[in-house]
Order: sequence, then C-alpha cells, then structure tokens
Amino acid sequence: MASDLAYAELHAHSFFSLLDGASSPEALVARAKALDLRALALTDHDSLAGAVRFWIAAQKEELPAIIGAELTLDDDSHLTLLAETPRGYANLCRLITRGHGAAGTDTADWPGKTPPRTPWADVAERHDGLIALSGCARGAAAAAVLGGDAAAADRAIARLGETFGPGNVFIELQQHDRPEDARLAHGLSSLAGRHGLPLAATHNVHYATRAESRMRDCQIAIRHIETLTEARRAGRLPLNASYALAGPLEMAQRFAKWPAALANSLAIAERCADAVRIDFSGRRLPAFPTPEGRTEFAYLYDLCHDGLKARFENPTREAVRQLAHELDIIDAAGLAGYFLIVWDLVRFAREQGILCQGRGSAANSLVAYALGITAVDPLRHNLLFERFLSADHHTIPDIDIDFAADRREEVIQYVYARYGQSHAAMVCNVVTYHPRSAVRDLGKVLGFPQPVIDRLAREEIAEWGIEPDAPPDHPLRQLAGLVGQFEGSPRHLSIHVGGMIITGPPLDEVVPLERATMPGRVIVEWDKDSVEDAGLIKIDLLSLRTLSVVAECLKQVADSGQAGPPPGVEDPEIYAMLERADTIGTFQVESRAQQQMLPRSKPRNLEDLAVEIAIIRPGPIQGGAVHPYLRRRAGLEPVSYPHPSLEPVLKETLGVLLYQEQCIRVAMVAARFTAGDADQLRRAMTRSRSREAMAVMRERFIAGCGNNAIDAVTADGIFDKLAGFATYGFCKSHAASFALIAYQTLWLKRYRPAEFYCSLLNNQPMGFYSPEVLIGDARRHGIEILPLDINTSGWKWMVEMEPRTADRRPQKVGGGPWSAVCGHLRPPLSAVNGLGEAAWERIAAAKPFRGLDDFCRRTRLPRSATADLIRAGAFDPFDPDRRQLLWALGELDYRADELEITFEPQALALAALEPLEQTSWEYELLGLSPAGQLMRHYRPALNSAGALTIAQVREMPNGRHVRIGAMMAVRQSPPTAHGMVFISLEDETGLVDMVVRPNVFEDYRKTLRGERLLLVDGIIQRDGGAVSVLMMRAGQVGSGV
Amino acid sequence: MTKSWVDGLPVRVETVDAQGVPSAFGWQGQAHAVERLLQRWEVETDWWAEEGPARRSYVALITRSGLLCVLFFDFGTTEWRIARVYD
Repeated sequence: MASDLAYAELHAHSFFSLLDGASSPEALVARAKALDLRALALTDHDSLAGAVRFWIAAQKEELPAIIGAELTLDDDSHLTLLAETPRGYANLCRLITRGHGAAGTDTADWPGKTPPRTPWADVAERHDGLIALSGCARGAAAAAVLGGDAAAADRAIARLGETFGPGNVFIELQQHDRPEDARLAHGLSSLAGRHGLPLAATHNVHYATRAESRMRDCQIAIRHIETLTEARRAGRLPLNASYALAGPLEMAQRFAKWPAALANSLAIAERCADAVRIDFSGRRLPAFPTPEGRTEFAYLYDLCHDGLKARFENPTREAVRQLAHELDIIDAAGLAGYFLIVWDLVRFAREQGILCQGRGSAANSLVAYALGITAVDPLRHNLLFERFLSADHHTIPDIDIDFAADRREEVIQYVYARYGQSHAAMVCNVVTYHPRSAVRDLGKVLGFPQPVIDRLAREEIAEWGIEPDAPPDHPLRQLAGLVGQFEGSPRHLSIHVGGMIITGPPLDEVVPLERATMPGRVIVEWDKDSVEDAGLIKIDLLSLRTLSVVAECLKQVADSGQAGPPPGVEDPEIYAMLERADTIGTFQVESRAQQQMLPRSKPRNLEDLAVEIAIIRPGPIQGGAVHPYLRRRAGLEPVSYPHPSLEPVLKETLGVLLYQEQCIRVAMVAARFTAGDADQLRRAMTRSRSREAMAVMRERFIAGCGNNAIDAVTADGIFDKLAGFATYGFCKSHAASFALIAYQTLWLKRYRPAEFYCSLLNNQPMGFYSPEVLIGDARRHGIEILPLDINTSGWKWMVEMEPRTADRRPQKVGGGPWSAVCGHLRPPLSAVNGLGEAAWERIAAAKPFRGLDDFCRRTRLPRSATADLIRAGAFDPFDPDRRQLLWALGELDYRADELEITFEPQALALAALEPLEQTSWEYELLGLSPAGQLMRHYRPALNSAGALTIAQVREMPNGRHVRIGAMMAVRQSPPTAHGMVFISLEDETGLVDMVVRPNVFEDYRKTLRGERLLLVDGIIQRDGGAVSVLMMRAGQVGSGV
Repeated sequence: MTKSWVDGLPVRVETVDAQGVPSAFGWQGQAHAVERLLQRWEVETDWWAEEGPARRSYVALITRSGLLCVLFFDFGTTEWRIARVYD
C-alpha cells in the first residue's frame, strides 16, 4: 500500500548547481514536503552556496535536512558526499574549497576562476563524518560500467571502500527511463555484491517538478554556449524530463527490483538528517588580542570611556547612561570582540591617513561614535540604538565603513594580514537573472536571430506583441514563460562590494571558499543574507570615491597653506548653496532630482539635509512620500499623523514615514513591540523572502495595537503604511552619516573650489555629471580652465595660482560670484583620449621641451599620439596655429622609437583653424574644451534664431515660452517616472533641466536620442524656486526646430 | 541486417498490458505476439523545435517469432510505430 511506502531523497540539485539546476532550495523543500519525503539532501555541484537557504527552509517546513554536495574529482568523475556529523560538514567545506583551488594559491600566480576539481588525495585525507554515494552516471564506477571497463569499475569501488570504510559507502542506483538504466543497474549491483557494499536509491534531482525540466535544458545549452538543437545533437541534454523530485510510490515502482536500495536510502537519511546545524553564532569571531591580558569587554569599556571624553568635553548624564546601556547589550551578546575588531580597522586606516567613516545602522550606536567608527552623534540626532542591536538578539549587527576608494585595498590587505588568509574572506554576491539578461541568454539557445534578441531585450514582455490566442509552443510565448522561470535564479557568483567575514575557526571549515577573478581575492560561497542567517558577522569595507575626493582636496588645501573645514555644520552659506541648488559635484545632493527638490525643501540644518538624502530616491518617490513632505514643509497642507500617539515618532519628518528607525518606533509605540520584535518586523518587510512572515506580523501588530486601545481599522492602516514603506525605508543614521559627508563636500566647493573641482576631476568617473559639465560649473564659480600645455600639464588635474608665486600661496582672483580666493585648473595630459601612461612616462622623463621637434626627438612617441596632443592644444605655447604644427609634424623625418631625425620645416601658408573646429578637436580628444563651452560658437546664430541663453531662461517667469540652443549634458528616463524623460541642457552660461513628456519624446525620439546639440522650444515651469523647461518641440542646432 | 527508421513506420497495436507495453502488434500484414519486454525508455525533447516536441515511449521487445525490435508510442500523434528491427 502506498501509505506504507517511504522515501528520502539523498541526491538533489538546486539552482545553486549553477546552470544545472532549475529550482530554488525553498522550492525543493516545499515539493519534498508535499510529496511526504522523509528527508531531503541538497547535493549541489561543488558548492554549498544554497545550504543556508535550504537548511532554513527545511527548518520552517519541519523537513529533516541533509547537507551534502556532489564533488567533481580530479579525474572529472562525480562523487556524492553527505555530512553525517559537524566534522563531516567541516570536511565537506574543506574539500569543496580545495576543489575550487581557493586554498594555498600564490597570489602572484593567480589562475582566477577555474572549473572545480577536488584531488582524490584530499578526499582520502578528509572523509571523517562523511557518507559517500558512488555518484550519478558520471561517478567513476558508473562511468566504467557504462564504458565496459570492469577493472576500472572495480578499482573505483575499491578506492571508495578503502577510504570511507564499512558502513560509509553506498553504491548509488538511479532509474531515469533511459536505455542504459538496466545495464548500469545490473553492473553496479554486481559490483556491490563483489565488494560487499550496500546499494542506495537516489533520483539525481535537478528540478522540483517536471514543469522546470525545460529550464534545465536551457541552462545546459547556456552553459555550453550553444543552441538547444546543438546541445541535443551533442548528447548533452537529458533524454527525458524524469529528474523532478519523486514521491515514495514512484520511487517504489522505479526500484521495485531493488527494495534494499530504497531501505538503505532511508537508513542513511536517519543517520544524516539534521546532523548538521548551520548556525555558527556561538563561535564566529577570532579572539581580539588585548593588552595586559584584559578581557575583550574590559578593554572595550576603557576605549569607549576614553572615546566619550574625547568626543564630548563633559559627557552628559544621558551620554554616560546610553553608553552603559549599549555596553551592557554588547557584553550580553558577546560582541565586545567584534567592536574591537572594527575599531582596530578604523584605527589602522586613520594611522595610514586613509579617510574613513562608518555608515548605515552602526551610526545609531554611541559606542561606535565613541570608538571613532562613526561620525554622527546619535544622541544629538535622536538615533535609535535598537535599529543596530537589540537586547533580545534577534539580529546580528552589521557595521559598514566607507573608505577612500583609492586606498580601501590597503585595509582589506590589513585584515588578511592581521587575521590570516584562512580566517578572512569577502562575501559573495549571487548575480541573478533579470528579464533582460534572461532574454539575451534564452534567445540565443532558442535560436532567435541576434537583432530580434536585441529588440526583445529592450522591450517589456507585454510589448512583444504575443497574440492572446497564440499557442503555448509559440516561440515568443515559450520564451516569455522561460524568462519568468529564469528571473531571480542565479547566473554566477561575484564579489560583494565590500562585505567581509572574519572567523575564529578556520573559515574553510565554516563555508566553502572560491577563488575570484581578482588576484588574491577569495570569496565565501554565501551571500550577505546567508552569512547573516548562518549567524556569522559581516563587516562591510566599502569604497567611496567621495572620500578619495575629500582626502585629496584636504591635502591640496593643506599643501597650499589654507585652512580646512572648521568644526560644526551650521554655516548658513552652505544652506544657502543648497537652496539655490548649487550642488553640482557634491555628495548625494547633485542629481537633477535633488536640484529640483532643494529650492523647494530649503534644508536649514543637518537633519534637513539627512531628510533630503533619504527622500530623493526611487522608493520614496514611488511610495508617494515626497510630495506630502514638500507640501507640509511649505505649509501648504497640515501635518497629520496616522494616530496621535505617533506624533513624537514622526514629527521630525512632518508625519511622513521615512526612516527605518521610525518604523521600529511606530511598532514599539503603537503595538508595544519590544525593540527586537519591532526590528524583526522592519526586517521582515525589507527582505524579499518574507511575505509569510509579514502576514504573521500583521496579525501580531493589530493585536498589539488592540492592547494599546488603537482600533483594528486604524491599526490595519498603520500596518499598511509600514508595509508600503518597506520598499523605500532608509536608515536615519545612514542618512545622517551621508549628510555629514555631503556637508563637507559643500563646504569644500564653497570655500576651496579650485582644490575641490581639481580633486573631483581627478577621481572621475563618479557622480552624476561628466567632466565637461563639472568644468562648466567650475567656470561659473570663477575658476579659469587653463589650456593644455605639454610642459606644464601633468598626468592629473592641477591647481595653479595666478599669478603664480614662489610659495604657491593662494592669490585673490576676480570673476567668481564670491570673489573667491582660489586658483585655476590645468587639464592633465591623461585627458587626451588614447594617451596611455607609458607615453606619459616618456613625456615626464623628457620634460621640459623647447618645441615640437625637441619633443619628437626626445620622446619618439607615435606620430598619431603627437598629432592628438597638437590637436588638443598641448603645443599651443610654441605655436597657437595647430594646423601649422600638424604640417610641421608631417614634415619631420621622424619615426616612433627610432633615433636621429632631421627637422627642416617648409614654411607653408595654411588657413588658420576656425575657432569652432579647434573646439571640436578638443571635445573629440579631451571631452571638453579648456577655452570654453562649445555653444559659445553658435551664439550669434542662436541669437538670430531667437534662442535665449540658459542664464536668461532661468530668469524668465512661469509659463513663458522660450527657445534654447544647448548641448545635452545628461539624459535620464528613471523607471519611476512613467515614461517621462529628463534632459539637462548646458550652454556657456549654465544648466537647466528639461522635462519631456512621453508622447513628446516619441515625436522627437530620433533627435533626442541621436543629437547632442539641441534647439528646443518649451515652457518655463517654476515651482518654489526650482526652474525647469517643459519641452514642446526639438530640433538640431543649425537645422531649426 | 538491422533496419532502422528515424521517424518510425506505423504498426497496429490493439492491446497493451498494465504497464502500457503492447502484447501484440501488426506490421507488414503480419501479426506479432510479444514474448518478452527487454527494455523501455522515455524520450522527451525538441520542445523548442519548429516541427514540435518529440515525446515518445520506447520499448525493446522480442516476439514469439523471434523478431527483436523497438517500437515507440508517439504522444503527439498517439500512434505506435516501429523504429528498429534487429537481425
């Protein structure tokens, strides 16, 4: 009877068998549960990347879970291993790590990613706690049986038996309705009999249900970069779709001749199920070496109190009390060592002069502030420690630190050196399929022509024009269905932007490691969520280019004898800059959207600036938070709260839910959640795999509100607001940390503009604008862009004082809006397109030059590079007539990398270069023109055409029709804007934003996508100080509208 | 000599057993009673192909007359066909 049947699946692949498994670990668990399997083993190819997700899903479903893997050995054969004990799990991690070559490889000879192959010698050494199954048809024994090599089959089985010992090796039988099944089963059974080894039935599962079998066919073709037809002809596709999880009845039928094999599978499952807990929270960090043998906590305690005194001259009672509270929680959670490790990293960075600042939720902590990890005073900004760490330890704290981008690697190397390569690694990032990438890969394997794939990838599936009555096997319908299946499945693993884990036990006994492409870089197979779920602590060592800009700028400022930014964040000049949206080049507030918002929101202090940073993002825009906030701030609508009790929580954002800290406080105040539970609610809302958790939370939330005399309807409404907020909630401490950096960049722009723009240009690409726009902005702030000069220009942008003085002290120069004390900017030779560092080294070694012939003689650069330097204006100091210089270059008997030249230029009367042509050469080679913006050459014609300058346009009243001739600086069509396109136009007088409605964009698509110099007609739109132009018509400059 | 036909030739199957294996079939005007099933396998492929998916259930049989052959049931046409006859 079916009800007496039982089965446990010991061999199943999830989609973490990259491109060889179609289902998520969660889907496999759900299906196994539905089929009433006794247990399920996850045995991905050479990987435990899905193990945490699998283990957690199995815990939730109360399905006994077995952690395993299918190794690829050095002879290319497969071997299935299951962990029977924690030791076995550690050995499995080691073996997989060895397979990926991530242990013991010399950085200097880094091979990057290679196909995993675990040496048999390692298996022989590390088999404790592991049960071996002989593998699929690619197992050494099965392959030998199929190949008719009885001796090889015997050797393979003997090797397994000798290594793993009696009771730990099983001959794996599989039945997949293939012609060779019977022969293979007979051969393997005979082998088992000869060697006295038991059989075990498995089903080599590659998807949860048959519905995903086509997805796996596609994965195989994608992996081999061929079409499905080619893959089938090459014999790579499975013969049929029988690799779905099978229930007890089906397996009983398939293995009717081998009942012992089924019984043995159950016995193995008994031994292995839930034998391994993927929870490393008890032993996660290395011990931090403390002086004089003090405990970690005692040392942390002292550091914090010293730090508190350094931060506050006279710490308030509140500060002392908060510090004690945080230290208590940290001590109880056993996290003192964690804080010391992070403190030590920051200490190292500061000692090395590497600019760094904590961001994210850590800035809610006074301990982090006292230790110098973060820069925001959490008391002053009313931050919430429980967003970072709560007493009930539901969550593990996450400390993110930004380091100057150009020096972050030094910090990462310090971690490796301090804790050892075997205890530290970067977290991985699972790169998943998005519709567009899925269309690209699937289109190829399905044999679509490339131009069709390109078109389909650009469009939404709804735009493909699939007829509603198209049959299921219609190629586009098939493609659309597969795209849906592929979306969200992993494509490959990459390095997380900065997440690093450091462990006390050797890391490769906790999680397998893989080599990344970058030399010396090793990643763990778990992403940030899995790392957290496994109870490990991640430290994010992030790189922030803005910090490189600030560091470089401060150095230049100091070198030129000027003072850096004073303490404090209250300078009204900075907030005046924000109000007039003078923010190009600054951190977080330079975008077009920010520039439109700033004149209306008028930030007046750092809290306002933090709101500005938190609110101008796609989430709040989509969530409808922006307009209520703006209207309330402008006094156009009253401030209201979902419930009167929430006023203290939401007052700072005028009743608009914006910060994650507010979400926690709302749950604490309205539903009387503990801080930990409230943070759980926030996390349930923000993590993608938590819909069910949300439903449970809603119930609890409404019940909690009921106990607090808030009626169910109001409670439901508040919960909806929290749920809606989930997509865009922003950590306030993060916003405040970023606001500080933003303030710094604003200060530098305001008071040290030459050094600021110089540093900004030296750290490109970054930010929202191109160098061309940045130098336009610099010019409008009174900074002259000096010409390129072969003798003066360096390899980086430089500030030059004018007039130049011996001690390079800044001189007062006129022309800027603030009579600024500043220098001017000299473009670098690196700006010349195609000129490499090798060329620069030759130039730098031979400088200065007396003329073109001298340059050619002593650098012997290729003619084309010299010609580019001439056309870009680098030789203007010798002869401003570039055409004449090019002629002279042609006359030189000169070949690259050769000796001896003669130079007898023939004088020739050449027509002087037109100014527009000269500027065009500069744009072509430098991407900008030091002498001025391109549009100045078109001004007379634009005047005749009735076009205004942008400076004039910005003064026009609301509703006025205007014509503008300008260059397109930025074009954006944010997904949140419902087809609206935003274009920033620039001319020699400034920038203005242009708004293009979808229908207008369609009418002028060709012009707006193909032309850079636009002549447009539009209507002025003024909104609380923000100016934009609503486009009506567009044409090309020179051809009219 | 072994003969094979990629798309098979039609055979007439009137009865199948509980496992779906023909007990007898008619081919080239002769009736063949099935003596023994040797092997069976399933093919499911070409679902992407213009000519449509191939889903077939194959059986290798010996008839009472000693004929060793392979038949398949085509789920698309719902027909039995003969794919191979061995010497």
